Amino acid sequence: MAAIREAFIDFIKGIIRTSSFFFKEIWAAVRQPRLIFSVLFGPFLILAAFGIGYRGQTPELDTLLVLPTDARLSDDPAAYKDLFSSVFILKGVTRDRQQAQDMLGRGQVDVVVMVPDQPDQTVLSGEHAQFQVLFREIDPLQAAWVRYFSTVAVQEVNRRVLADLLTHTREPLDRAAEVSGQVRAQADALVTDLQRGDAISAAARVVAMRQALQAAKNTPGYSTISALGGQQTDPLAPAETELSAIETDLARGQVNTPEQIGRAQRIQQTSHDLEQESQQVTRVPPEVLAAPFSVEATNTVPAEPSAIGFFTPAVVVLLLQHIAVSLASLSMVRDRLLGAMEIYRVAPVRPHEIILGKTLSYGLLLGVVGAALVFLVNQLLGVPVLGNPWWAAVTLGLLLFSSLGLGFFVAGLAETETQAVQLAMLVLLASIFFGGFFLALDTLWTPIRAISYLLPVTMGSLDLRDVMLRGSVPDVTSLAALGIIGVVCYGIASLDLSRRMTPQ
Amino acid sequence: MSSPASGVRAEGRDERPPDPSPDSTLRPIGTTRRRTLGMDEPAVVAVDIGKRFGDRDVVHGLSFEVQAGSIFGIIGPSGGGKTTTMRMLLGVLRPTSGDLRVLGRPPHRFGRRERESLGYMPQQFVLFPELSVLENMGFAASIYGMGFMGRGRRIRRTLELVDLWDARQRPAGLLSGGMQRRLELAATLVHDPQVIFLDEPTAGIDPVLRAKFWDHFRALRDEGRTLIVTTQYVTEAEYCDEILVLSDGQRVATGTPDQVRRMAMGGEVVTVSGPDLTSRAVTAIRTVDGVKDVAWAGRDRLRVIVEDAGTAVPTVIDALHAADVAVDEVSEEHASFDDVFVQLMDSQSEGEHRDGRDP
Repeated sequence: MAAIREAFIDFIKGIIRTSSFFFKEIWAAVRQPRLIFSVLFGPFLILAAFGIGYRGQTPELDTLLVLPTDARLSDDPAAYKDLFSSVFILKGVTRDRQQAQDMLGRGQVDVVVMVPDQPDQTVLSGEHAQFQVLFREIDPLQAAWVRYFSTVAVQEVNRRVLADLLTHTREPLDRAAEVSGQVRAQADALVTDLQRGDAISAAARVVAMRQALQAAKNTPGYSTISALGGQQTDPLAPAETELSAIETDLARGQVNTPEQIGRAQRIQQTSHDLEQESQQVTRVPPEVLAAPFSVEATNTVPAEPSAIGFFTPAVVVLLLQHIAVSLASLSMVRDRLLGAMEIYRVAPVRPHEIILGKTLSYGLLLGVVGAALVFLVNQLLGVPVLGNPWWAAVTLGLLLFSSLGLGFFVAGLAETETQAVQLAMLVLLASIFFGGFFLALDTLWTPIRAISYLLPVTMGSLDLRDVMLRGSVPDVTSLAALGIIGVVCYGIASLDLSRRMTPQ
Repeated sequence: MSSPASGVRAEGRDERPPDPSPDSTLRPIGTTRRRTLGMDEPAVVAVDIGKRFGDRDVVHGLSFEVQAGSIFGIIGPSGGGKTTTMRMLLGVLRPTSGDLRVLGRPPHRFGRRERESLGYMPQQFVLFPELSVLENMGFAASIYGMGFMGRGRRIRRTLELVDLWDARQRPAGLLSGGMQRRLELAATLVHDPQVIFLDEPTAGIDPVLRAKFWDHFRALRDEGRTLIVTTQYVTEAEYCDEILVLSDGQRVATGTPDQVRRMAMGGEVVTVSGPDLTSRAVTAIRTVDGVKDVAWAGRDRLRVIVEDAGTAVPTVIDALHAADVAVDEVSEEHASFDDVFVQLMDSQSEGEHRDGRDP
């Protein structure tokens, strides 16, 4: 009984000792209103400024168009406005290449687009006529954007040229449609002749029809019509076979037999289909023929977030992680430098009571900050919280657990406050590059990607985005990873603190 | 100027700092004491303990006992091993040699129960500057497991004891140096420790406050607590019940202040002064029983080393009177601990020279 009582008293005293560190850190924070203000409103103001200032992912590039000197093209920029997308903002037209390059060198324009000399001659000689696009960009992402949009722009030019060509080459299609009509008329007459039992007229019709079929097949637009009609083989070949059979029957003196009538009707149907396809093809606008396929991409997320909406969860997570790592590491290092660790070594305090007390205080403080941040960005910046807020709370709780653990781990590596700050900054830097903050994790080499999964920010961002933007439950694996990072870091930090508190 | 008889005053010169004023605010705390040691039991027993850092012996061959309910002073020059010795007593450092027991156990194996009985005031200010006085006290009480219920009264009484109750809402960082030391003392005492370790508690504070501190230490001692105090102020040895004088990590002397004084000076000291002191006076004094040595301490002053000043002074006066030597004064000289300390250091230095060691 006495042992149970002793154990109970020890337990209660353990709680009291833990609470001493909890209240110490809370009071220390409360005594620093500027700290509270900066921790709470600093991240929000950063997000707000980002939301106001962020222009989206596509750049806007001031562009100068250089025309060939001898081409009979207009010098009026308005004539080319519709050729340029929203990325290339046409600022002027010139025929002086050197002047254009000088302006690019002086940074007066971002891009110079040079139209090729005599493109028709180049194409007719069997080569591509090449647009030359010059730009001065050291940012590889921006450079990639320029190359991408250059390709898109040239494809648009190609499409327009093809449509223009199709407009001027409709005659073969029209001729094919006309010949198809003649074949269909001959087929109709053949059926009538056979049903009347007029063998002589029918024989003459067969000869005329064979000529009409040949004429149709020789028409330049016939193959185009066949292809657009989805025909894999020659569509008139069966009609020719049926026609030969009718011709043989007529030569034997047979006329108006059910087989003959059936063959003639199948020829009639084939020619009728060909005529319809010909007329359909000739009705298709040239722009559609030049670019037969278009795309309509549909985002199935409940609500497509804005740029600030997409980045907000990651920013919240990154800021919370950084503050947690800084507070935890600096707190432990400061206690050591102040000499308080000497008091802890003499007092009946255990390492886990120190760490637990500090964790609870910083966890509470940063939990309030995290909740307030999410509330503020939701209410004032319109960032959605589509999922269950309790899942957001679970995610932030585990994020803080692992981040504070990381901070205590960092404290074990640092002997001075300067070192602690430097290490916290290194964690921040690693988080920006490897945490999926602005570079997708898939773009990293797999072995290096392992660094990403050692950082709480990686899993925290994924999970908070799931909850806030997708409205789904966070990934269990990510949540478990946050817990594992925390447990490992706390284990190492506790061992380090125990070592420091052990009599030497 | 004076006759041999009428001009003689037999008086002991008291070197102790003045007693604190009767209205001192440093009043003992009236609390229920936890008593785990009898008054005649030693709180500390050290037998030949030493501490080595790398290849350097910082402390070696120390043996001493600290009786429960006493003030034990560890005195010595800076870098003499005082703090290392105290850290071994606290269990922060483990002795590399010898046997050390505090409250009956090796301190580096202390459990939480034993640690709750210790109070420790380190040399530097280690409380938290952004917290108020009251919050710092709450923290100090909590790390020793004092519950929230009822500790407020204890904190108040401790703060009143050190005159800081009125400043309880002020951040500790804004207190003066003296107030910070008082706050540290209050934080050390708040959990009512049985053995109190004070590492240079009076360093850097004014003499008035120093006297108050010592007055309070004595009051704590009188309540039965054991105090172990390190100090560079050798005159503070007077306030201790027993002292250990350390130099270069070695024991130079140990015992009560009087014992150490006697040991340093070779006995008790009587001074004889007068205008006509000659070799006749020296001869007369040497005839007195109990006189161990007579030496000139100036042209008209003799220093006499005796076994017991109380009995020697009247006998010396009689002997000089019989020899018809006129003197102004014959009195016991209570050698200051500055002199005692210098004497001890000189003796140690001479001993090291004799042993062929470089001091």
